[in-house]
Amino acid sequence: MSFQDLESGRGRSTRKFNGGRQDSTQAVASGIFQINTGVSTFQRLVNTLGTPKDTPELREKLHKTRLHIGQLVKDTSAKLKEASETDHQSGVNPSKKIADAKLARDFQAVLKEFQKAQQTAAERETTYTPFVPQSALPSSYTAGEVDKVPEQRAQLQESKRQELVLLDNEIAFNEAVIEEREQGIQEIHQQIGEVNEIFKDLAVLVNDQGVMIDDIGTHIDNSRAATSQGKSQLVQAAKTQKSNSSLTCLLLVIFGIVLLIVIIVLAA
Amino acid sequence: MKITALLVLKCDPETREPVILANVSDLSQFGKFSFYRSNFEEFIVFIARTVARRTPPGQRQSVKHEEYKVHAYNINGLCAVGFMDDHYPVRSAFSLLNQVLDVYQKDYGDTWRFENSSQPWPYLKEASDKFRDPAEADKLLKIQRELDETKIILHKTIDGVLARGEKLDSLVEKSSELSLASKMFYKQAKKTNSCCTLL
Repeated sequence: MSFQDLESGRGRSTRKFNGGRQDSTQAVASGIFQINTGVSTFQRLVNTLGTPKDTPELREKLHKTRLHIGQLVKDTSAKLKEASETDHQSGVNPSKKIADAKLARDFQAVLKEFQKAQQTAAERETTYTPFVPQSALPSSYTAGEVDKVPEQRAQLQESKRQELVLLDNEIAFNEAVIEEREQGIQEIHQQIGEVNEIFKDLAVLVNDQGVMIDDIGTHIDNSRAATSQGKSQLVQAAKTQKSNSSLTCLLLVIFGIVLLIVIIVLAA
Repeated sequence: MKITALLVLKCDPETREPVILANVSDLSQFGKFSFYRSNFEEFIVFIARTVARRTPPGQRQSVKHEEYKVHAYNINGLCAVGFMDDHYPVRSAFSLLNQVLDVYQKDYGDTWRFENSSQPWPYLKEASDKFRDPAEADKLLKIQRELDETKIILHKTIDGVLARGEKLDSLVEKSSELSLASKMFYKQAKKTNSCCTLL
């Protein structure tokens, strides 16, 4: 009796444990799988942005897909939280813990992919504008355009012709002004050439006069030298004249004495 | 060189007769109450209108009438006309007319298109007085004048240098004579001294 009771008790606990594990874990796995599928679809839609297939309908589909994935993320997150709470409470089976941890990591990876896809979508939505098909426009508008084109073209050609005529007149006028100014500049150029010639002549004259001034300097130097030599000769002449005067005086005295002696001899 | 009259006219293709917007005339050659004064003004107005009517937009024109040279310059229907004498350079005249039109458009904008009568405009008088000298209106002419003055000064300088050359020639001759005289003095002194020494 007691043995049978023990057996029946064990069986009950095992059944409960298995049922709880399968329910929560499978729910999370299913949610992650759906998110994966949604993110793949979202990425495919994002890749279509910026191409001819980029239409307002596609953008609306993109928006709906984004909302759907958001809802799936919320549900799966709640289930994952519930599963982790169960793990903490019971703390019975390690394999369940490991499986839940793996699911959590997968969930985070899927979330990261979704965020990247969202960023890319935001960038491309900003960069590109949706392609509006031609058929969307009313046919009457197109017909009106077709009707008006020839008249507008004729008017455009006429105004272009008038502009060309005005431009030609302006070009001729400007060419005349330029020619006049060129002539004036030619005259100025010629006069500057003449001024240059005059300066060259001045240079020649100044050089020649420099040579003349050098000659004058040489002559004056020669004069100074000759004059100084003449002066020295005069000094020598003055000295000679003085010595000659002394000699004459001496001769006169001697002659006087001799004459006196002769007179005395004759008187005796 | 003289500016007898300056006018600004509106040459509208729709209107056959150009409209005078502003004008100034130098009538100093006539007495204040002279009979010819009003006749001369009418003459100027008539000739200006005729020349302006015959000057298409974007064109310049010079017409000789009696002793006057009439220059006209039309820009987009706004026409400046100047009465000068024969000696006033053409380029200076058109430069002046161009400035008159520029200043008019700066002062009045595009209101002249709706103007049908003459208004006093002080700038015309100022321009007439200022540009009496053609060099003021034409930088090339001013440069040419400066070059002419430079050439005149250089010619005077050359004359001065030539005169200096002549003076230098005289100095060379005199210094040469001085040198010779000095040598003679030296030789004479030496000769006399040697003679005395022999004695």
